[in-house]
Amino acid sequence: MTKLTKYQLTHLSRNTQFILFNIEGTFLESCDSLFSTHDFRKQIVYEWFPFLEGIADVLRMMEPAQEMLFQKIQKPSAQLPGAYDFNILRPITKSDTLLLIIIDYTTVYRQYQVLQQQFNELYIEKQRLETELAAFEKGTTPSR
Amino acid sequence: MEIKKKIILTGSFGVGKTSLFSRFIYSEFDEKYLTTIGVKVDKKTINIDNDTNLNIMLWDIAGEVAQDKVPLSYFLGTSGIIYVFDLTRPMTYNNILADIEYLKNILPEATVKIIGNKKDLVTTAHIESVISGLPVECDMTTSAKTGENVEQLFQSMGEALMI
Repeated sequence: MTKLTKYQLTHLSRNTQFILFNIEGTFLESCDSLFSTHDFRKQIVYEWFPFLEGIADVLRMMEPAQEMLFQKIQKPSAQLPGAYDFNILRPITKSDTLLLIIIDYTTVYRQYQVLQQQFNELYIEKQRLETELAAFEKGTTPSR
Repeated sequence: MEIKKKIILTGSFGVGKTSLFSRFIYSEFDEKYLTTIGVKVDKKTINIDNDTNLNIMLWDIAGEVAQDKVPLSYFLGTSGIIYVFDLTRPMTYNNILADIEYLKNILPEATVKIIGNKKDLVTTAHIESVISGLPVECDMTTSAKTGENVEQLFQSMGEALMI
């Protein structure tokens, strides 16, 4: 392992967790970087997160080498209270295995949420003013 | 018998999807508007009949002005779509026909319910005027604030998914 690879692995492990499970949802392995899987290992992995439970049938049907990315998943479980990307891959070499990569983007998405909030509030206010202006031009008041 | 189904809440932003989500899942309501980014998912089990429980995986998807802006991955595996508009904001239902056609096109097997929310803020006459002017049928009007029709909405969706 080169020095650069060591730095790379150390850096990546701070905000990324890798979990391997079989296509039926049986836990195989986890690096536990973001949360400890110790108490959940006997449970079906799909049931760890309501998010995964909702798409379990889709994941079971994944083709080898197929990859799915779900971005900005908020509070996927009590153990993960922030905002994350879930990347799910079916490795071509182990066809009955799925690799789940959870990346913690909480800091980035919190900043994004502040901007999105400002945008949405301004847009809603713009819509309200446009509705009032249209009613004013018609000589009516918006009904409520 | 226990059955699992994924249901999504979608529509423009600020229409009350998260409020409906919180009212149904946690029996809570917060007056403050906090925009959703991405998606929030939680689950709740409802009873359909003596023999059947439906485990609802409810996806609260960030609002977009048009549905074709929603990431396609969020729609995967969806059985039920709850399309929410705001009875007080015409811009949230002006695009409703195109939105519903888009959703039916990408999820042809899914059950769709169209919901006018925030009925506590408007008069009955206003609701009737809005609904009669829609190019699609509105299935129900709700208030996440008072809880009116929220349980009924999910119960009727659950029963429709069992057919």
